[in-house]
Amino acid sequence: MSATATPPPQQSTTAILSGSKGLFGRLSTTANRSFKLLVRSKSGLIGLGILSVFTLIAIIGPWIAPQDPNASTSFSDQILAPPSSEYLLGTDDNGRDVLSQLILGTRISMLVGFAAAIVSAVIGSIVGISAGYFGGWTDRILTAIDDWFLVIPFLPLAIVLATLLGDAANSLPLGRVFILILVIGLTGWAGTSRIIRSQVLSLKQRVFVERARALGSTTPWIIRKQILPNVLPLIFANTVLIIAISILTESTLSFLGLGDPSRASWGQMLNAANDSGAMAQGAWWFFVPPGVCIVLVVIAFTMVGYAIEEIVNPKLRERR
Amino acid sequence: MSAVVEQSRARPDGTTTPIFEARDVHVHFESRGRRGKRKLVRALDGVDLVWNRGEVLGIVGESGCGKSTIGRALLGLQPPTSGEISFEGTPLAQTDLRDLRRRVQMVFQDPYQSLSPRQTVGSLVQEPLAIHEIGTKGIERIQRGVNALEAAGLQPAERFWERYPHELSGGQRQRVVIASAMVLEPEGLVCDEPVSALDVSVRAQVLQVLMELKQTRDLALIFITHDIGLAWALCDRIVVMYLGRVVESGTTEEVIANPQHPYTRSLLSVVPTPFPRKDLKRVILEGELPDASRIPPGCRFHPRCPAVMQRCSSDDPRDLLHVPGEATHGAACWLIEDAAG
Amino acid sequence: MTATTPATATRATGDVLLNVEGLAVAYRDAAGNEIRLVDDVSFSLRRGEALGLAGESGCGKTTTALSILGLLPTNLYRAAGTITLNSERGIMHIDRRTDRGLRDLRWKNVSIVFQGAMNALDPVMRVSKQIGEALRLHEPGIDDAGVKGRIDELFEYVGINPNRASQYPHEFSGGMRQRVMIALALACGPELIIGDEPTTALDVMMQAQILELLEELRKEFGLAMILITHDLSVLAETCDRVAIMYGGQIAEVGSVDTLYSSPQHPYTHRLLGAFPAVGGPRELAPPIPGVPPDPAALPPGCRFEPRCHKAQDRCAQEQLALAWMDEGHGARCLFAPWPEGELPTIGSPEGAA
Repeated sequence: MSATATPPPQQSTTAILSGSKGLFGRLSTTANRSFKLLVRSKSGLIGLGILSVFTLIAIIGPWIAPQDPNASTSFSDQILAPPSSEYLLGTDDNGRDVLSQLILGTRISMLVGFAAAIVSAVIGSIVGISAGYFGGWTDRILTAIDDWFLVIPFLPLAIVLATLLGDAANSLPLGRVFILILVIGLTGWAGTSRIIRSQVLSLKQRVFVERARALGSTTPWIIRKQILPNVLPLIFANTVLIIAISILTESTLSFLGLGDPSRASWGQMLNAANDSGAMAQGAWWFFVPPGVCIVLVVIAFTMVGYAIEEIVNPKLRERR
Repeated sequence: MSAVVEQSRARPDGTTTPIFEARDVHVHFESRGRRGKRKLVRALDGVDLVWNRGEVLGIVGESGCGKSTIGRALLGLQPPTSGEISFEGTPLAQTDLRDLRRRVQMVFQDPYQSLSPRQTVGSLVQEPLAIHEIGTKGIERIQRGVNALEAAGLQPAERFWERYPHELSGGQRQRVVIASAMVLEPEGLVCDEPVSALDVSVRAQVLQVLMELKQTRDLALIFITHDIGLAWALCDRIVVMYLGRVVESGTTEEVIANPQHPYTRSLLSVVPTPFPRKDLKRVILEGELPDASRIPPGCRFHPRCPAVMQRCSSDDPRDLLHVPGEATHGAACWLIEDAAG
Repeated sequence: MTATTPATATRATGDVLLNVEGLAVAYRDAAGNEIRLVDDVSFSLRRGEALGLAGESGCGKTTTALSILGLLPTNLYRAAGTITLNSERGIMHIDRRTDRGLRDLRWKNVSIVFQGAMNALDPVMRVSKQIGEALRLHEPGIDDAGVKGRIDELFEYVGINPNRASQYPHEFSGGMRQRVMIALALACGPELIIGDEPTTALDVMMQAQILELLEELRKEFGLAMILITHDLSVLAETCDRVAIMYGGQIAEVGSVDTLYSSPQHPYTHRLLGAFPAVGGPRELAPPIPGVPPDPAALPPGCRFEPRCHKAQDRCAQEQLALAWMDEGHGARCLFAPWPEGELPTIGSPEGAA
């Protein structure tokens, strides 16, 4: 077996060095591979497609919106007018163009969704990994806190937090939007941390973690090199789903009047539609479009999230 | 520790400090049985063991006997509930564990589980070097990794370097495990059922890698296995375990050719082999291994023992009794005392 | 293709229960080509005889066994050959049977104990209910008292206290569960039992118990048995005859004694060396290099040639048939029978009194 002629070790090493890619190279290969797999799933593709459109709109919003809803010139006397050639989606209760609000609202809704989800993910990961890996009292205390957050009815908590922090918000950039992000993030991390804790618990038992200990790794090393890489995909998949929930939550909170009335968002539009009696008057162009957008984006994120879950599990990936 | 075990320390070439010594090691787990009752699982219940430099030691027994537990305890992966484990004469509690880990490595049983699914072979084989800060990053570590992979039979190394574990066969994975253990150039390897999950022809290949490494680097090996044939062929000394205790110990010849403990005798009599033994009556033990939380009083083997005597149900043969005429052969059985007396 | 049909070599000596001739099992790949996993497999089994099927994973032994029960996965089909069961209930051409016909013969004529069978029990159903299900399926007229009586009987046979029948699977240990699976396999009084690695996951002692049990049952009921395993030592103890499979074909077949004392195929010879047996030489035989062949990319000549330590040029060029030597001993090798000492057998036992 080892008696056959082999190339001298130097050759192998050079071959490896020349072929090896740095961190960036490896990341881009992974991204490439993952993208190809994602594209294979029909639902993932559709979801990605929808999200691209919305992301595009969010980015170039200000440039394509016919009107700036905050400009005084936008207000007109055509209150709750149905769609026409001038106002493609009609007007709201202040005579402003609904389409513009929809386009600009995309930006806020998606921004809040992303940011809140990231806040959730970060808190959830730290809590989940610590509770799962260290066990003992750390676990008991963290899980108790987690339980608390899971059990408290979300809406009252969000309302309380938004109200308490609301006043401080006015001095911050993004104002109340920032508060929204914080509130959603703080109430949403508990589910994520639970999932991550379970995963870490099962990883801890796995033989390859024991092997890492047997090799002489220290705890930080194990967490960084063994636990984190195996948990990251789960965090990623979970976060994508959390974005969907966050967008929904933002819409809910805005609808309830806890949002930022000066910035258009889909939830804000629903809030305004409700307050102004648009629903009673049958002005569907005011509340149906934002509703449809919310639903589309949430479904899109969910589809992508599920597609990512499939990628994330290497066993599902194998084609033997 | 019994005299017999003390005896097994001596080596012909004079070096007498063994790599590992275990004295009266107990490992007890608390667990909840059915209906929530607390129970104490005595995985190791007083184990004495000696592992010498350059020696191939076989720890043999059925599942649940504690053989894996003692392997992990030696490496400090499982702290003993009581008793002492020494590495080169120094108790584990006072040993630098990192140094220990660099010098004694472990090969785990299941090659499908023991490698992190997210690391490439190249990363896996360099990792121990990075952990112990050996060699400079880059070319030196890669070189060492390549050498280790090729010594384990994965040639040419660059073909495997960028692969992930799930792209490799069981035999290849096990070689990666061995390579990553050997890259540290350890003095000893503890192998826990290294080939039982592997297919027939691969099994022999991996065993050959291990034995070659032993020859070329004077590696000390522990084989933890239920395969007595393997222990017979490869080991210098054998230790037989039952329900958390060592019940027999000695050189391979001594234990296999002249088994003294009724459990060993029974085990050897039922091992499937093309060479049925004429000196051992075939005794298939009734029933099963008792739960480690309900160890029988007296000699723990007495309820199943074909040669059970009166005293066996009350007197626990804690130490190995020396078998007359054989230097390092001992068994924990009252029959020996009777025979001698 | 064969010089003398294997069947005639053994049929002459008694009533044959199972006859497999020229069996080939294949699947179609993406391009529509037929890829054979089992090729030209022929053997016969007499009533009460135990045949061992041995080989590495992927050699086709399990596929062969599943064919006998018509339990092939949907992507596999029988490409050639016949399987005939000379049951007491009449001659059954298994290869020609429809699904319904197969269901009829399964469990009543031929049953199987799978690898890891002990984990095949439904964890939320009492064991008695599971066995009862099988009984009622195959004997529709049976009533509750009949089922209970039969279960009691079966448990007695396999050495479990019949009172335990109403327990759940998790209340039994691994070895006990395997006994339950054997009881299940016997439930409808088959003539042939196939054991697919029935003791692989078990300890030495439990393995010995199960093998002893199978032996007793065979004697009591005159059961024929096909035992599939990769552990040749187990076959040595339990079987009358052994067929070694490699690359989907039978490489060597013969009585256990003959195979052990004078193997005629280099693969058998090397395989025997791969299991150091207690009492044999204290060394590792040189391992067989390489890996088994890919059924989709078979070597042109002898399938074992790339890994064979005795290979010569001819071997890669000619397709081989089983060469029959005597007494039902055949080997698929150009050089069989080998001159004495060419394929040295395992050394004599050391230390045995």
